Amino acid sequence: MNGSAKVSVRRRRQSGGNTFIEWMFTLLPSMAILTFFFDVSFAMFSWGTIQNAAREGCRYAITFQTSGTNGQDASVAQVVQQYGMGLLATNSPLIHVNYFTPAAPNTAIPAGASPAGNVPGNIVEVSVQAYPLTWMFPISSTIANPFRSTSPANISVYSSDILGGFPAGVVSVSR
Amino acid sequence: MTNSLSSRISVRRRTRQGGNEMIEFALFSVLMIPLLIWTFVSGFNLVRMIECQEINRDIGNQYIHGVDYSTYQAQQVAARLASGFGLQIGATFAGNEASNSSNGGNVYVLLSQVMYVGAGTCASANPCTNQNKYVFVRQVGFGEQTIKFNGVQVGSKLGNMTATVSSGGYVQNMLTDTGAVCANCSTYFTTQLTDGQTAYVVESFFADPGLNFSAYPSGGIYTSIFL
Repeated sequence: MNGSAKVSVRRRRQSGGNTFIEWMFTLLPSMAILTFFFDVSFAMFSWGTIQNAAREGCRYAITFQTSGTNGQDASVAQVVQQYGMGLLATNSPLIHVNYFTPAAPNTAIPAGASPAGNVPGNIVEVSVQAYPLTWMFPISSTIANPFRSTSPANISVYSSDILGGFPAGVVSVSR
Repeated sequence: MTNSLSSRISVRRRTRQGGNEMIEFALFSVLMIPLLIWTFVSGFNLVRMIECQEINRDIGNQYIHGVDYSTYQAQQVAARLASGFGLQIGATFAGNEASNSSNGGNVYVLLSQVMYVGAGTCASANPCTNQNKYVFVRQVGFGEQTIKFNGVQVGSKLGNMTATVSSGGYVQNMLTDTGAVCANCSTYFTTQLTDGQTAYVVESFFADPGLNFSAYPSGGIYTSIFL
């Protein structure tokens, strides 16, 4: 028994530090995988969230509702921002609201045009363009420049639908 | 003696156990790595499927309200809606094209209008070959028709339409052209249409070669909507 104990001590001494090295070997790839999951998941979450925000803005737009003294475009943008769950800033320049006629669905009707673009039967397109994704773990794995400062990618999402009828008693809505 | 025996046992055990952890890790990896890939592919496809359904619905909403998807401009709207999914519509064209479906990319969109032909509709045609059948009134396709899911060419679940169509996709002789018959339509209507009633069907196919792992081919996402 004594002999075994002595051998064990020797083995322990010989193995000293191995666990720490093995832990480090395991930790590095594990952390890389973990941060990868965080970043990919957050990218997917961002994409889904702003896509849903654009869609809700579009659903709001087709009803010709407005908020307070805002025109229709600003009201729609406000709805998109609200559904953006903090990813989109108030009055974000990334949010776009465009109107098209069904006959020319790729030529946006500018604000102030006559006849106006936001009339029943026209197409409304709500989009969030070039939304910059952000890293949750901006670690670059280089010593010289350890943190990433740039966005990994931009996302653009679109939603469009046909404008419904004006609410009762309303004959036009300002943009 | 004891020391010597213990030492020998220890050496023997070390020798026997050498490489065991690596084998265990390999066995563990055989199970875990495919599971990890499967989780990633399935999770990603789930999110994509939701997005694809929304794109399809947006296109359908506009289609039933009169947006003519046989024009290039309307197809550009669809391409913008499907941005990030690889819907390519090729170079610009003037007027209408019923089939703009050889452009590469990963998406194919097929819009169909079907009608049930009863005795009333047939009154003006003699003979009325397609009486008491569903027929295609119009069909427009754009994107890339030859995309494949798991190696299988995609196709409409309504069946293949072979009738002669105009540049706008309208079937020329829907009452008499047997190629206009929609063989599978009745399968998909919970309430069958009556004479002269029409329905709009939008089908979209989204292939995803980027997520194709040999053991877990992602296939693609098919989504359809009846309006």
